[in-house]
Amino acid sequence: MSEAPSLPSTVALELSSACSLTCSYCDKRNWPTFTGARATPFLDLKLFRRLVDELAEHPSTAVTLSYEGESLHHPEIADALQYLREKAIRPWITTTLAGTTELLLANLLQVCSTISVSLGLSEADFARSRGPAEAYSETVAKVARLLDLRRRAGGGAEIAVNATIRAGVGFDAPEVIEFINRWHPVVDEIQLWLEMGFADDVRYLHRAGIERHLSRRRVCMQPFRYVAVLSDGSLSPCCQTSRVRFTSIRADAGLAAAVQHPEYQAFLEMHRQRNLAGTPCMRCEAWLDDWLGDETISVGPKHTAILEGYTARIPCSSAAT
Amino acid sequence: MNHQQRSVNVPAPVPASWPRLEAGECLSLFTAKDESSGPAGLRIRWAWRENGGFDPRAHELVRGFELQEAFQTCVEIGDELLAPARSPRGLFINDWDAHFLETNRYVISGGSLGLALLLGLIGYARRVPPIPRCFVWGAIRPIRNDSFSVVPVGDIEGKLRYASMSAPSMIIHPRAETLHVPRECRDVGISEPIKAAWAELNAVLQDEVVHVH
Repeated sequence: MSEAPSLPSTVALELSSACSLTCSYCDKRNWPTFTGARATPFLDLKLFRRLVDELAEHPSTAVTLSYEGESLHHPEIADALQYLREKAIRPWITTTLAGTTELLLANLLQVCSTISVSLGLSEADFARSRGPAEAYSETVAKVARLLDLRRRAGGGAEIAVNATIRAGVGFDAPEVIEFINRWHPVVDEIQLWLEMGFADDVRYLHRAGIERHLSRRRVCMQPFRYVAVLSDGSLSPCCQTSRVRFTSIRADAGLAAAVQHPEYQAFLEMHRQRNLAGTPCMRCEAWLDDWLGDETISVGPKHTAILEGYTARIPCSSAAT
Repeated sequence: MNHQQRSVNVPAPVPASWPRLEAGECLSLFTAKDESSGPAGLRIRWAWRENGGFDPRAHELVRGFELQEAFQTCVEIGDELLAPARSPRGLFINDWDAHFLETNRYVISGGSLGLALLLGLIGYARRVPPIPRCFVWGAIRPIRNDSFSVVPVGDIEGKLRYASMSAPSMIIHPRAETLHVPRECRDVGISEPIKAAWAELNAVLQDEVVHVH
């Protein structure tokens, strides 16, 4: 019996670190401060294929194409999706659908397990926190197109929409209820993310009811469960931010080799010992997300959500056929 | 919640025999991830003590962080609910069980023993011995009202199967789990909210003491 899984349970492949939006709750805007900039904006397709080959040998590892950029901006995205399809890997993708063609939407539906489209609670919310209002209208239209394509094809990826709830706004706020009511009849799931604050530290902004738990540091599970391959082939063991990045490990040698690398193992040991001085993890609160128990909450008068840490999932009357 | 075997040639423990436990001691149940390479279950004894933290000897026998966290969580809950008294600060693995794990190169993991530890802590504080022939399981997680919740564990079927072989008098578990316990065995489901769970554990401990004596 093996001592431990050879790969983390989730691997993120950041095909592109470019993004046309500037979301207030994405750590990408802090790249200048935390040397987050990538050496190359697009993941080399040969490297991507090698990684996919390796991931195909680990069917229990989930694959996501989302990190700090918009993976669909990769110039060879169609080839990348085709290769995933050939290897029978069905990734999750969180995306704005910006710049997608009809053909790419159809490809996504065939290849992905879930397409979670990033919206705002409303056009005004989108304009405030993400980008121009026109981009919101475009994204909404793309979701409609995606749903239509799936209906015509008779099936395809699950389609979800997501929005981030800024600090000070509760699940019972009218704009949240309106968002849910709008999308509930047509998508498979609605995901609401409680905004995290990225400054010098990474903090929960919705702190009500968790202050006590935050007072006792627990071990962050992320480095043990998750690794992201960034667009330049470097690696981050954090699902929140690439300000945590390995300096001497690259994905080129393969993921299993990366996980066994002394720097990776030393990082895990630091987490085991909670000896995080001098690392960005010292000033991060996202560890609590791994420990919070799931709760069922009411959202407005009609809906029920499963609150998993800072993510609320609202299953919908599936539009899937 | 699981134990794993690193080498074979292991005599399976005899499930029918029950250890005698003192006040502050508790029994946890671990089931195997892979029954083909070891016994289906292990009963591991722990003892609360005034001080000492999480048994340093246990670190080599444990994988992951859930066990230590379950200990810390129980201390935190006890500090709140025993006030003005405070929780004991030490949790030690039974010498024989530690030796057994070490000799057979088993590693235990998971947080399913949270409820068993909490019952042991209550027994320590009240100076009440554990309920005879009783299995307890349930995880305890922090939730968003600055409190804790008792939640179901994994491999309930495996736990129940193993427990049933030992002719238990009682199984205490999260109420959210639906169990079909053996005949003659009392099925005690514990509420999710930690204050209610605490009250129920106290009550069941008192009941059994009265019953036994």
